[in-house]
Amino acid sequence: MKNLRLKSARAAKDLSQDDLAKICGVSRQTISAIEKGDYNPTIKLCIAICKALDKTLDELFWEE
Amino acid sequence: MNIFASTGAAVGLLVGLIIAVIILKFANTNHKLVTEYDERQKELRGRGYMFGFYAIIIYECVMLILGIGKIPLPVDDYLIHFGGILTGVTVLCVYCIWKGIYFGLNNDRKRYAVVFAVITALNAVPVIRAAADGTLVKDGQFSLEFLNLMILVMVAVIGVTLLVRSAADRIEGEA
Repeated sequence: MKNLRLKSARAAKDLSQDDLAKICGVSRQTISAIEKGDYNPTIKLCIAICKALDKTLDELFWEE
Repeated sequence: MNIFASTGAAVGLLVGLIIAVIILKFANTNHKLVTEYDERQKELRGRGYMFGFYAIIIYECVMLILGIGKIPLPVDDYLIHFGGILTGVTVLCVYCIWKGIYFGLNNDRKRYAVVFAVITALNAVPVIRAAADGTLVKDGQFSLEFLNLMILVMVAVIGVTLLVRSAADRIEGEA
């Protein structure tokens, strides 16, 4: 399932996938895979993404 | 038995290993020997190693079957073993590239392109020379230069995969 909340949070911060990837210390393809729902990140990476985007885990990764 | 040939090959492999270490240090942005990967890349590389391992098993089974049947091949034993190594490496590289792992986090793409160009040139020279001399095949058997040709084929397969995948990646963009 696509993670549109992550994509919109990234866009709101005016960050490209590459920018976010550099902040989190991962490859651009990994950020792309998470947004597409092709990859389930570990909690460590989820936290790094949340910190980079000033969001909580619930806001970005909790499925409702 | 030719102990000199085996010793020469062992020394050649050691020299190759030292050169590989120097090249890796040159090609990585932080000049570390080990390439760094993120968690997704590590996971997919693990799967790539698994498929590479299976490919080598299948290759060796085929060679075993041919060997039991004493079916002659136009290559020496060392080329058959080298073919197995190349098969495994090719499967690993193609799988990883196809899954979007072009480079590690600390790889300098331009420097790697230079390394690939040098590898291609170093392997193309003996092949072209042997082809020009007509010595690529001697007495119905492929000569040592066939080893260089095998490497060129591997580099070509990896290169084509990289081009196709990166083109597809560009088209997808940030979708």
